[in-house]
Amino acid sequence: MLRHILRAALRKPQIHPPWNPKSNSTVPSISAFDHNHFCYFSSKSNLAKAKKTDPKSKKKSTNEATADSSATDVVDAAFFDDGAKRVRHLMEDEKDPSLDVGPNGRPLFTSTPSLSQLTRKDTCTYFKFSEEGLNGALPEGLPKGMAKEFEDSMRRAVLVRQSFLDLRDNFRRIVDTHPLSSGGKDPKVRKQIVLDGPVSCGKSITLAMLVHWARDEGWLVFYVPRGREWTHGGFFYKHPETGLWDTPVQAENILKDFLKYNDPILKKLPCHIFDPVPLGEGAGVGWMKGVDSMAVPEGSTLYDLIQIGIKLTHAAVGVVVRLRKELSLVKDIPVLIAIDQYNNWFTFSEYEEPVTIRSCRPIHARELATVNAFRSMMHNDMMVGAFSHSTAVGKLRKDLPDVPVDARVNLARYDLNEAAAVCHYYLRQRLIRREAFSEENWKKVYYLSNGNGAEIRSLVSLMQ
Amino acid sequence: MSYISGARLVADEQVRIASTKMDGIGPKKAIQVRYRLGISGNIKIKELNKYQIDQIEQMIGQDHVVHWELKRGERADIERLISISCYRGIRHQDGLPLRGQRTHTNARTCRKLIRK
Repeated sequence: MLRHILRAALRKPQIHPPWNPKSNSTVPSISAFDHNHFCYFSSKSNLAKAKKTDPKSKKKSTNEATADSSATDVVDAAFFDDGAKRVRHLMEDEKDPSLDVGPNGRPLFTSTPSLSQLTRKDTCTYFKFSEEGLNGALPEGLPKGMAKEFEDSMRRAVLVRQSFLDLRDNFRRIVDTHPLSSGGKDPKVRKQIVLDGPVSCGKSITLAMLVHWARDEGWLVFYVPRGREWTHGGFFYKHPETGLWDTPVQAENILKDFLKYNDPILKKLPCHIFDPVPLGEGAGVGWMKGVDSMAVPEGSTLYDLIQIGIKLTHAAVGVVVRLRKELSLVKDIPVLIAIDQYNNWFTFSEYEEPVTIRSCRPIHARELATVNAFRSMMHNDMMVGAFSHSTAVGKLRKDLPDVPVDARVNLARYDLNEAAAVCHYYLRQRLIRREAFSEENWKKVYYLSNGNGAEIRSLVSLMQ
Repeated sequence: MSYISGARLVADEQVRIASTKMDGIGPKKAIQVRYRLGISGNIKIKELNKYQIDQIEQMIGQDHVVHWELKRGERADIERLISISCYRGIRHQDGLPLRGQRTHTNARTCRKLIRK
């Protein structure tokens, strides 16, 4: 969209009248939207029709095509130059701390060194992450929204919100044995939470920050940044004994991801269950001949168990299921299970089972052995699931199976104070031109987007 | 590059699309074969090992008529019509349309054999 607007601007520079507060129009005009934008698709389709019908227009269309391609090249070059300039300006701005000013003169960035020390006073400020720290704490990968925010703003910082602090304090109270000194009643703690809310309200980012905090505290965190990957891709085989579907490729990836951060912790945690691990069909290798289970040696650690699953494809799914039981029995350190795109586990998977010669039956996510092991929240372990609107699951029922009734927490979109902090941050990061920034303009953007974070990020660059 | 039932399968193609390159296997049968072997939608031919390709070949060979067997069957049906000298057989021999189409004009596709 931005490229099209710049392209249009390069062709015809247009002068628009300034916004008149006394005018009758209720919607303020963001002047970069010109007639060409609204006619973009129609003009493109008309162009396509003209090409088909009129042979004489072929010459014209080729000329237009060359003009378009040259304009695109100019736009791309402009983009690259703008990007490089912006990087240079940002590097110069780093030397000037007077620019780190938020709304009402408050500091834009918090000086608190860690997520665990953040307090209510730090809300509506930005917390900076170091690249090594973030990649180290979340080696499984960042949520898409977070990665996009870092890419657009060219800084690894997230807004500190009250919702994150409440979530963090909830889990802190579960683990912390000392009672609160406030003197009042302890607020209700919830061990299982489902983060829900409108599109782009910050569910995945909140979950990622919670995981980061928990790992800083030394917890054992089972983090799944993309729950959809458990129900899509790879191979799937029905296990005749359990009746569930094994996904050995997915199981191996799950174990490898779990090992990425938790390697040293798992080497110290012993196994509690020494029953043999049932074997299934391997990925592309069939069944193991004559063997249907694998023994777990006495004295093994969780690391050894996971290595069995990674090395032997037949045992991968069995190890994942066993791991879930083992995580419930770990008492040495707090354990947190954090699942993003959790709503994908309440709908159908990509897989289907042939029923007749011509028809197939879709397989629900709960029929997969790995999902079946981790989906339920009816237990005494700490678990957080975040819904995602990026995966086209659709609307789910309010009372989900295997989920406590009071587990849902609705995260709200940005309020006015948070939007002010966000807009000041984007100004600092040169997403907004300083001469175009005003309270009136950022409020227009906020009301247009209705607090949607991704939309605010796309609209602020159009401020004039 | 691997061959299954006489069809050359491109390694970079998804299994569900590459399978349709075989004579006698269309999109529906390709999906059936895939799901019976537990192969999901985004798996490509290059990600399959020899065991899985043999499984595909075995399954197709058992349950479906493909490649030269299909062509042989079609040819046998045409020769049967010719041998019993029925109207359709005579039309096959003459290289003319046999499903009631006009021959005053058009019918160029059927007449390719005569023109040759």
